[in-house]
Amino acid sequence: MDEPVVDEPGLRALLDRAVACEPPIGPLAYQALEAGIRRRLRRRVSGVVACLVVAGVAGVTVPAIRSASMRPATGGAATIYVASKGQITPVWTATRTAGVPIGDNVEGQDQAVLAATPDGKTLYVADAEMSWVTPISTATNMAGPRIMTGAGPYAIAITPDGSTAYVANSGAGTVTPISTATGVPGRPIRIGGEPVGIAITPDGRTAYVLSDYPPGVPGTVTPISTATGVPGRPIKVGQNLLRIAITPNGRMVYALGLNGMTPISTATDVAGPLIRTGGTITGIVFSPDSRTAYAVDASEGTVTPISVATSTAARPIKVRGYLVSAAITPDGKTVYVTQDYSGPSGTVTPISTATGVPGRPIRLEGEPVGIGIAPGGDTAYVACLNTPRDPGTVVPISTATNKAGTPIEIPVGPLAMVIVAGTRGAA
Amino acid sequence: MSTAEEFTEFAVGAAPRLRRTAFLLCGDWHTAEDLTQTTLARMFVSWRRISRQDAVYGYASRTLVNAFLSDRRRRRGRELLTGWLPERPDLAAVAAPEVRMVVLDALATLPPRTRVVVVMRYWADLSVEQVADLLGCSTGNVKSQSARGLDKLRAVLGSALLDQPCEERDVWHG
Repeated sequence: MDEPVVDEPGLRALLDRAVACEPPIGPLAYQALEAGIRRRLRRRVSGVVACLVVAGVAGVTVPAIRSASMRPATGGAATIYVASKGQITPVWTATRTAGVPIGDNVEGQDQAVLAATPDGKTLYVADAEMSWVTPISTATNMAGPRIMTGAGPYAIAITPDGSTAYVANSGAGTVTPISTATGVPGRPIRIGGEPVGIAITPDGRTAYVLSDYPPGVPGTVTPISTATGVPGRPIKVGQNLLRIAITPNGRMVYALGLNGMTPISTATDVAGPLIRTGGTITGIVFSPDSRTAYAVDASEGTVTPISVATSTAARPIKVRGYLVSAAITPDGKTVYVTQDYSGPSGTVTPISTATGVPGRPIRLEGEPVGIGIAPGGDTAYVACLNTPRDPGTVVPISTATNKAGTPIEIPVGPLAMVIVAGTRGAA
Repeated sequence: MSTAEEFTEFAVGAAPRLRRTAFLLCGDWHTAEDLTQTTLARMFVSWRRISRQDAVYGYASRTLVNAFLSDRRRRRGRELLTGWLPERPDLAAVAAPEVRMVVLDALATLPPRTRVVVVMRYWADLSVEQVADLLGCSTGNVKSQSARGLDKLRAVLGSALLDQPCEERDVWHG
């Protein structure tokens, strides 16, 4: 240290005095800490949840050939809605520009939860700290009046016909069905525990609700008949649950927890043995033919292909960093994983599903929070925050060349995003 | 000891210090608690890998600083920057609890990265090299930010306050 440090003892003493007003840490505070850590583990994967919604809108959850014939008019153009604290910013892929944020009526959003109707006309936004959902018309990019739900809306799933949005209320132990036509919430469906995830079968008949319980009590997956709104018998699935996912063909549901994931056959509603990959599986993507699940293990830094039919794991594909989120191209040829190194820049690595070999990491200026692939599959979009100059960006990556394009600036750091087909609400 | 038990042991030991560091970075206990939980949640998921390394606390500091800077980015645009400087206090007249407020106000005038440099160097006792590593910048940058940070604090607090050693502590009554 060649430079004299001026005033150091005095400053240190002052800083000590500033922290001297510390509230005491008692057993209750440690319980809160433990609960807070669990909440954050789930929030950390919310980007992946949002991106599965992305995939749904982009046509990954329906057979690729059908989605291609359904979308010739859009020419792959899409609108990305990026949720930040207090506002939603539309980004148009056709021009690669960001629109004016929708913010006046969308308060909170500390923990953004996003879902879009299959026709892309309405976006539902919730904040897990609040007790309502805000609808946004993608035609006008205007927020509508709040729809009251139970406390702590943690996940939203919409039926494939777009008629009903189901909201998992983590604080109330219930699920609220909302008619998307009228915006009127139905009577809450009692589930118990802390509902933190929801997935609907592609035929729209059953909503599977993931419910977490306090430490020591196994969590559950509860099927709800969408026709009657009546919950079935809860299926026990182990502890410390993070999220739920369903295969594109709807035959298998996976409940992801801290120690592994539990497969459930939707034909029998019977859970299979826990599938482990060594650490915490925070994300999962499926091949379009529903034969292979790619389990993203954040702590081990691996992506493990798992046979959906037999639940057997192939050799894990090792990549570096903390794996934040993943997406698969509509043709199923490439899985993209985003990596964070607890530093100023992250990366995205493409993995060939044919060879299981990771490609060269693509550098990002900033910390990735989520990835989605636009309709047509030619571009992946990564939402980043903490970039050197701007609060946040959306970085386009060509899936043909695996090169990053010019980042699109977002006024407030992104928390989650969803991609809706077509150019919407542009001036 | 299982991975979870090992992590719990670490978390219980590290939480108080992380929380205090976070408080000096962000200025309120609620956000400090939030940043501490975020830091520990992230470390929990990567625990098996992190616990094999020697510098677990270093990793925690880095994660905390990153969480703090991310949080500032998220807030930017929501909070108005006034460029307002608090009036220089008359030190002799300032009572103990007010000193705390004056110090926090002064810290709040620093840009986030400068605040990280000041807190990590002068309170958490990290070396210039360690802070540079933490922020992913050069040691020269850390030195210039330290100098700028101290200048600003001195301008706000008055050099007398910085030089004055403080022994007594005020106690939080909850």
